[in-house]
Amino acid sequence: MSTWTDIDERDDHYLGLAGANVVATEALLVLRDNLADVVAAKAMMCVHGDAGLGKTLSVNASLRALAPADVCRVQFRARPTPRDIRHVLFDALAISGTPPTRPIEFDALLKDALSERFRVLVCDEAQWLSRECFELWRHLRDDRRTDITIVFVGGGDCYRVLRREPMLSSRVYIWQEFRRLDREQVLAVIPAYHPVWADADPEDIAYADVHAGHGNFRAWSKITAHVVTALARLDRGRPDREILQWVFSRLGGSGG
Amino acid sequence: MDKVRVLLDPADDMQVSAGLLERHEPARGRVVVHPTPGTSSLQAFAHDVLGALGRAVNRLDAEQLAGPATAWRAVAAWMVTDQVEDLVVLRADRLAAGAWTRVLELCRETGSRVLLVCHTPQIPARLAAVLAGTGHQLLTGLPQALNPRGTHPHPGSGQTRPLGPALTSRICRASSTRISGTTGARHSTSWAPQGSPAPTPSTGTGGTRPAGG
Repeated sequence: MSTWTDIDERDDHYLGLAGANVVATEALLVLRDNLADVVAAKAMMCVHGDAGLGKTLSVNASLRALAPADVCRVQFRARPTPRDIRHVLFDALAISGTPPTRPIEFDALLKDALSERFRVLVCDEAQWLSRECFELWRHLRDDRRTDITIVFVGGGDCYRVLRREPMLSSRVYIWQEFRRLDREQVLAVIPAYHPVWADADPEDIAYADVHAGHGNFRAWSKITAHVVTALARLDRGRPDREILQWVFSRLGGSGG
Repeated sequence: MDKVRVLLDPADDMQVSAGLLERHEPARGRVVVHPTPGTSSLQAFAHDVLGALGRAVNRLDAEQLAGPATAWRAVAAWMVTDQVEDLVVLRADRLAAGAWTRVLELCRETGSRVLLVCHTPQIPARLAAVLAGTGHQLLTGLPQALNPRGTHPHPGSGQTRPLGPALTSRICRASSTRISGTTGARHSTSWAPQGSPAPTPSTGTGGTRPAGG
């Protein structure tokens, strides 16, 4: 579990890549508008898409600008139970004392905390949640006293998991899918993503995307980290085909 | 008539739950139970009803209401004391058949009307059997569920409801159990004798009902 206060902007980037920038992809710009609307409506939102497309980074970056003091971020890496969620929220909301043993008491405590002031709850890796877990989120959201927006973020089959729950289908105000960057988008955003790409030949960027990037930010983070290493070792100013082939060999890619 | 109603909400529409929760007004005899997720015991459901009735759920042990028998006796007592006319149970499709049985008994004893909300296309088979012989009414839309009782007046306006002997006995037993209200609750925590008008709403801080009724 991680809470918002544990995360600085560097942690947003995969591998904590030094020098990496948050780039204004179309998905990020749309997300900012969507989050602004869902926060204003105090509703639920689902951000979904394959792993590595920048969902979590975009949500973190957007909410850091939109509601920095109100965000409570929780993440699950295995299939949690409602009990796990209660405890994670207890910690994330910094509720003092000992967690109650009875669910009804626990929920009353959480509702009290969530009624004190507005909060945005970000639930990452939402594809791991069971129906009972979604029931708990719904229960907290439906309560008349709580003052919350809930943002579910998930990869894999998150969309299918959430869509099959009528309780969420009727409550999720905005669904947003993150997709791979197409070639045109790659050429537009990668030079701004990291200084090593600023003066790169667009054909080399396209070459890297075809063989290893595949429009996926996480893949581009790896490529960039290796390019940074290569440029430092070879004392070169910008990537070229030779460097990229060396990077591909480290990534297990085709190397063209 | 129409003491038992079942509302089907196959789309699990937020407006249905929100619309009913907005009607939660114990002081006017309308109580909406929003069951705790991830629990299935009869005891946990009794605590949910007590919570909906405004009782402090963080003092169940102190009030000796942790056990199912005492909890249900307290529920019955407060249902009568608060003159609950309408009991709405959300997420009823997720409850055990035993909980439905107990709710139907409770409403029969207290004279309350019950609305069981199933967020499913139909009543689950394991629960439908519980309704046999109740003459229940099936509703398919929120407007029907929100339809007022028509000419049936609320007892807070001066009428009182007679209690059956079984309930009188339950209340007498329950009255030996201390029941406190929630801090800042919408209810008075003082004991209202049988047949008395509804207790005056108060912002009391958890007074204790004297034993003996």
